[in-house]
Parts: sequence; structure tokens; C-alpha cells
Amino acid sequence: MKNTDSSLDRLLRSAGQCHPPVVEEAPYGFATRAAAAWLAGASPRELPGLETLWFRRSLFCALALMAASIGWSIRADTAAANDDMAIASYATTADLQ
Amino acid sequence: MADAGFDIDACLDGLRRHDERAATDFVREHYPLVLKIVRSHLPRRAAEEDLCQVVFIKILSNIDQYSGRVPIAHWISRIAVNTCLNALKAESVRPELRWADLSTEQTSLLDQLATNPEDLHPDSAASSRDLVETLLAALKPKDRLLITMLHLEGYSMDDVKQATGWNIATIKVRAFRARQKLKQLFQELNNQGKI
Repeated sequence: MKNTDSSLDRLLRSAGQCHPPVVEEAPYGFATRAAAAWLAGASPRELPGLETLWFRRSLFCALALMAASIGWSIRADTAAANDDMAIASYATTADLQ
Repeated sequence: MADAGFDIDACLDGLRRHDERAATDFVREHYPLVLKIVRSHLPRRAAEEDLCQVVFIKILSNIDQYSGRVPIAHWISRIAVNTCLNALKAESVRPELRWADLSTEQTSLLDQLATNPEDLHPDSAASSRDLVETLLAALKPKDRLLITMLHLEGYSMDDVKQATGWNIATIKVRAFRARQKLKQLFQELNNQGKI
């Protein structure tokens, strides 16, 4: 483990010595494009995250709705079966009388 | 970084009036700062220019929220870091690390680290960075961000606090855990190489 620590330290130290070249100015047309996009009212497109969030929420709501309707339908079925049993036992009792 | 002829107050006034010239000047002036941050935390499948544009649109759209209590560079850095973090989060699939997928340079670097206790030669810096980037791609976005800032970019805890808005205790705990995860990945990779 100590060797791993030491190796990782040396790797990180070496990687830290590599710096990307310093950029002095924006590529041609970039500033104009960015300014135009801002003025045109473009919203920053980070949509993968936003779309995923909305999709997950919709999916969660749909699942909750499905579970609720399944539960309600099972309960309704059980209630109907109980009613049938009650009617049958009432009929049997009435016949015997 | 700041151009001596650039008047930030006049530029901010222009931006609040939706002046295109002021926006262009602002982007030109701060492009190097934004690009530096974006390059350090760029998701694998994102184009750096696109992400820079997203950062600038975000900054320009929210310029009214800049209070002037902190230097504009700090405010820009925080927006750039958060945008990169969101982009990294959106990239939900993190690649599995396999020895077979490493380049020859990367495997020889790992061999060298295992056999030679000396520091790596300065010429290996680019390969080391490449290998570390490969390892970092398998970490969670916040862990990756912290390792990059603290170990590769040489940020202090205060710098990280400025850039992220997290408190020092959170940064310390998260940095420790991130380092442990990185160590585990590094160990696993070395074990694969020994087989």
C-alpha cells in the first residue's frame, strides 16, 4: 500500500508538471458568436442534464401512477370477490330458512 | 491576464445595456481564463469551444447578478467550474479501466513507477498527465474536479473554495476520499498488469 501511495504521488507530481499551452486570445469569430448568441437570447445548452432530470421525474411520476392504479384495481377486485361471497352466503342462508 | 486598456466597469455598464461591442470585448478579455478552466475539467466527449461558449452565455445572461464584491475573475471562475461540473455529471457513463486499453507509453510508465523509486523524468510529464486523465475519467465528477485542482493545477484549499464555493472542511474530506478512490483504481490497474 505504501508503494502504491509513493507511485501515485510520483505520477501526480509528474502529471502536474505538464501544463497546457497558455492561450492568449480567442479564436477568430468566437467572441462575436458568443455575444450574438447571448443577444439572441440563447439559453446555455446544458440540456443533457436538464433533459435527464425531466425524463427521470416524468418516469417516476408515471411509475407512481401505474403502481397506484394497479393497487386500486387489485383492491377493487378483492372487494368484488368479497361481495360475491357475501351474496352467496346470504342466498345459502335464505335457502336453508 | 487583465489588459491594461480594458475598463471592466465601463464594460459591465455596456453589458447591462445589452451592448454587443461590450460583450465581444468581455469575451475576448476573459477567454484565456475560461479556456484554462474548461481544458482542465473537460468531459471526454465535449468540445472545449462549445463548453466555453456555454460558459460565456451563462455569464452574460447573469451579469446583473454580479455584485462587484468579489473580483470578476473569481465570479467567472466559479461559473466556469460549475458549468464543467454539470457537463461532467451529464456524462453519466464512466469508462471501466482496463490494462489492455492503455497505450504502450502508459503501460511502460506504470512499469517504471513500479520498478523505479526515483521521480519520473520531466520528459514523461505529458504521458503522466495522459495516464492521470485516464484514471480520473473513472472517478465521480466532484472527485475528478478536486484531484485536478489540488494535484494537477496546484490550487490551494482557498483557491478551491473560491472556485467551487464549498467550505474547507468539505473540501478536505472530499479530497481525502477522492485520493483514496484514485489509489484504489491505480492499485487495480497495477494488479491487472501483473497478471
